[in-house]
Amino acid sequence: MFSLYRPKNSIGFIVCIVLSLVIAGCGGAPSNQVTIYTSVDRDYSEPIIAVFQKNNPELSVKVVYDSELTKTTGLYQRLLQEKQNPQADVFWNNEIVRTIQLKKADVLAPYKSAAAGDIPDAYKDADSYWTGFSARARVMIINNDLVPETVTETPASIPALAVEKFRGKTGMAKPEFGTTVTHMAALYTYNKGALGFTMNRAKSNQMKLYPGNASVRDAVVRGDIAYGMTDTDDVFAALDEGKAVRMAFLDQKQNGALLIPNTVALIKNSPNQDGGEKLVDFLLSHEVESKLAQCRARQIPLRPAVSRPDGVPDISSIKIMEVDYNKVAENVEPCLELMRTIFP
Amino acid sequence: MTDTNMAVQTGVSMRNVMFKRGERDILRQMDLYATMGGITVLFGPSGAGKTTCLRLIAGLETPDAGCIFINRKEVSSVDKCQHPAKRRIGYCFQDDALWPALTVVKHLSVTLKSYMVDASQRRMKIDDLLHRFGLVDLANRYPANLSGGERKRLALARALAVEPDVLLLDEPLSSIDGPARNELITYLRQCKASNRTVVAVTHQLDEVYALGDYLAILIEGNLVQQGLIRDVVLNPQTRQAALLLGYRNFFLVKIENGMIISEFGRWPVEDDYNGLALAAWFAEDFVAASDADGPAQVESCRPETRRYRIGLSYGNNLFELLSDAAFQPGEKISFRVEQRPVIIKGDR
Amino acid sequence: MSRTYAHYLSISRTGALVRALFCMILLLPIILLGVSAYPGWDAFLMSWQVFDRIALYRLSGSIILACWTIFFSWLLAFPVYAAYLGLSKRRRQWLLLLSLAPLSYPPFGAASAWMTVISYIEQSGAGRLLFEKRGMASQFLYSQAGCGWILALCFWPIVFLLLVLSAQPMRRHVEAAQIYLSRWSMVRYVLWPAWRESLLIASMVIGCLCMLQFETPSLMQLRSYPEEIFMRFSIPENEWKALLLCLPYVATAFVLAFALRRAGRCIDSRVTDLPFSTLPPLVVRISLCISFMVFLLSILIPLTALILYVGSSGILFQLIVDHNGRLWRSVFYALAGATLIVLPGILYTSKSSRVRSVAAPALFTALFACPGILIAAGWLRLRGYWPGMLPPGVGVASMLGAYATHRMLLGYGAGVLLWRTYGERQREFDALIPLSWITRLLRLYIPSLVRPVVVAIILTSLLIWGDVAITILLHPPGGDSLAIEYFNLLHYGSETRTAAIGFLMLFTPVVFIGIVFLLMGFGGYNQND
Repeated sequence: MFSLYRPKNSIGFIVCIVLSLVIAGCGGAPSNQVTIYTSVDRDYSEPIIAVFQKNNPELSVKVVYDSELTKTTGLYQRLLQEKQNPQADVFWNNEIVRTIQLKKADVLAPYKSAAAGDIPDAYKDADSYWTGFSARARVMIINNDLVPETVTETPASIPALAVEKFRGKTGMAKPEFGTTVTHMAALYTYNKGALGFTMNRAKSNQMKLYPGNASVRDAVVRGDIAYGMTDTDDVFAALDEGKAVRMAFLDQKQNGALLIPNTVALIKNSPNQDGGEKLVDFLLSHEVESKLAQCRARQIPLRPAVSRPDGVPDISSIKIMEVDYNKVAENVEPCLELMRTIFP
Repeated sequence: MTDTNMAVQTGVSMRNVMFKRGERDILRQMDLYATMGGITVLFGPSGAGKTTCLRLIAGLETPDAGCIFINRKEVSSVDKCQHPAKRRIGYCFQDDALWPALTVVKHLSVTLKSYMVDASQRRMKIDDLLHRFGLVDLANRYPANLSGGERKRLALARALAVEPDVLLLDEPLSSIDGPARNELITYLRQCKASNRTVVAVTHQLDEVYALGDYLAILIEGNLVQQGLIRDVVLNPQTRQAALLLGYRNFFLVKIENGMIISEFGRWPVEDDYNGLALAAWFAEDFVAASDADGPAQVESCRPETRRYRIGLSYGNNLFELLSDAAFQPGEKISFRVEQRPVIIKGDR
Repeated sequence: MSRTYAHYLSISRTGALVRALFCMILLLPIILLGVSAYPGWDAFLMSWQVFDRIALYRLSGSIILACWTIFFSWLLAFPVYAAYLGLSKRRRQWLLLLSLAPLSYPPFGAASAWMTVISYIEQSGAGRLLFEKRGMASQFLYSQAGCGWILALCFWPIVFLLLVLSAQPMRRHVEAAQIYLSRWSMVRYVLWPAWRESLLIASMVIGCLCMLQFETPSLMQLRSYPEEIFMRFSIPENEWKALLLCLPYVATAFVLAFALRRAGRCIDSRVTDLPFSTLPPLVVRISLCISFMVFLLSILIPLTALILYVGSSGILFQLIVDHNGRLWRSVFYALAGATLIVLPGILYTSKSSRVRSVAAPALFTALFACPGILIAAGWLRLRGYWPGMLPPGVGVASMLGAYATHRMLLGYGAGVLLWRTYGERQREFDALIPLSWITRLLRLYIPSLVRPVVVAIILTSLLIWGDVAITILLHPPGGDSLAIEYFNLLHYGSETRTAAIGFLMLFTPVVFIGIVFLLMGFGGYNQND
């Protein structure tokens, strides 16, 4: 079929590929390299790490970003499987459950950062394996075209998802991945019976499930559904694009909205422990929390003292769900089993 | 004989057919008449356009000029081409073109499906074909597991299954030899029927004699000559045709008053022509004799069956002859001519 | 089956050993993952409970989705194939090139585009004219069939390319059929057997790709089996269960491999183009129209959605400048990965094609169907076993290794097809020349096969181009790919930037392949008879 003789360019082509393959396989890491694994969206984390790099020119910072596609499983698995031969120095997670699971798997090293002194204890590990900072909250995103702002009654609470009035109009991400599973596990920790009951009702009330929080947001923006349960950062992204949506914090009249803080931790036996500690200190500084509050995601600072732009709520102004994150992490598995049976 | 008369007797006729592939002329002004009830052999060297001829008859190609008739009905012309399936043809391709996914018996049953509606009739026909072509024991084999001869027989059985008006055989004996060849020749001769036109293609002279009733010689896209085999063989029109037909010795002779006059002898000829002409002999027409002062010199000597084929140089001519005795190259011999030559009229 | 002298020459004991070793290396990461995750006997017995009602329900959902996708892919690919047969040589090559575009765009992106378009149509007046009832189109879209339709719009080129590259029935077979058979019999007894193998391989590949689809069905409100695997995998100390959930893939792979062996039973090694005259001009014209529609749907819909968002070409240009490094890195990953797949595949299949084992294709199919993230985890584990020995740069090597493990089926398939074009007799003859196999490889095989090899590498690289699962786990620090960037942006980026990257995702391969094809003087087909 193919005429067989014209080999010269093509042999060169194959040789090039094989050669570059060999070259790519060689080359080691320099000793001044700090490697950070982060599941924080690259748009927000990149400028912050750039600042650190600028402040510490003697270090060379390498970053591995996670993808939303793998729902933070990617870096978690990477850290877990590299346990014997760690490549990373610091893990900066955009949520908390995975970090706690990594602590249990003996991947993390304890480090008490001086910069974290004014962070509330609820967001720090008792053994100093991890520290939380800037957080996202669970909210309901509402389509302004379908629900005019004059309408105040919204399903901005978990029980309201089961109300007949909102039949077919609500949606959330699949309760098996990402922050949604953390949220469900938190509710499970509170009252598993109530969670099961409400979710069953919500399902028969034709609540829609989407692959992720971003898809929930997109569905609301498109007008497929009127209300969607998602995170603050997704809503702020939509608002920045000028979409006709608004948000309401969840369960303000019940348990309060779940806060999901960023967490940072040092990796056990990492190649550059000192550089890692430096980076952790930097990440826990006011500067970073303030930057995260100013970025597109508008992460909510855990320290009231940190300056924040308009639109980012003060943490004290929101009713926050009080949870023991360690318990939540423990409950993830049974909660997942429950969710599977409800949404087969 | 006029064209119309010709068409009455012929099963397949091609008139003024031209065929080009790209810039190359494959067939030029072809006028072929294949007689019903006999086997017409298209004979010519490789690349002469023989296979193209068959493909045109089958309707797999459309001519660039001229028209083709089957049983007096026009089937192909420049702007019209009857579908191959409607022409009632059997075609044995040179490479058999057996369908790799079908067994022997399936080949026949699938082929018969569109021609014979009645299932029991079909079964009888298949049985008959399997017996006729000795395929009974091979009925459930795939083409990949058949020998060359068996494949040819299957191809032939498939072609005859449709009771074709025209049977086209493309190099039917190529790559088959030994007993299988003789067997196949018998099968091929059986394909003749009074209402069937068979056109076979070959480039081997012995196949012409083995199969043919009629002969058409095709050289470089030109139909040089056609007719009954013996007529054609004894009256080659060109030197090239004569060479193809096995003539080896050519010599310029003079024709005067109905006599052929040459160095080797005089023979009467029925021809009004007077002047120089090219005469041709077969190798066996010459007989060699040992003669140290002979006029010819032996150039080569190769054994052939019981005898030797001797290459001679005689003046500026090269001759071939058959001899019972072997000679050494370089040896001088003399020879005599025992048969009258044929006169090649086309090359006067 | 007759065995020739060359046959004995070509499968030496060493060769068999090397092949077995190669398979072991491919399996090693998975075995390692399994061993490290093995929970002990009691827990092992308990872990079979993962195959509960819900898991089976999701499995059946994925299978139905795969069936729809395969069905639609055939439906879309055949008219294009018919149109291809009716085109002139040069136009055929353009058609081939164009058909690569849908493959290079991730199905997830296509799904988003379709959702946008359908939502727009339904909300505008045109939609109400087109569909009696509002929601009819979305009802279809948000079903297994709809999801299959979208996936098929991305995957149909696989069927088309395999038909073009491998399944041309011999011209004489078709001609003989033209003389003796009705149209229907020709399709049934001559064309179908010749297409059968390619269609089966294409369906296998598409089926596997569907069984890996996780985001797209999820976007369409469907439950899928990979979700189940992924969920298990995301729970600590549940990797074992995730591996166990892959067993149906392995079982199916063996069944398919058997089917493939049967289908390839009577393949003729000579390949020729189907003649133009086989298809009536009307059929060609109709299939050209349908092909136009197919391209319209599979390229233009996502493209329109992208262009609407991108807005101006300035943004695109700026983006190419910004992502220069990432772009080249992605191209390199894709090409290097594909080379690592195709070359070993060719070496692996270098034995006589008459002997077809079931184990190897079954193994490769199973690996192909398993979620990439599991294989990547295995490779991570493997990498972790050499503490200190490996520099971080080895990340690329292990990533490429994981690509190869995951997609060796493509290399195997390419090998089988390439050797078939080289010709059985030729190889038997080559085997009689007293040359070492390496000399034979370098002097005879590679120079003769180089063009199809390059084509195979490029086609395989298209499937790596959009890979996320493996890249995310194994890419070296600071070495992510365009696909990862795209998927990230899909979740949090601005629409303009996302669309612009989508544009790059869609068109880089087409441009790149176009350049390679031009350099190679396109595929020179001989159309003599």
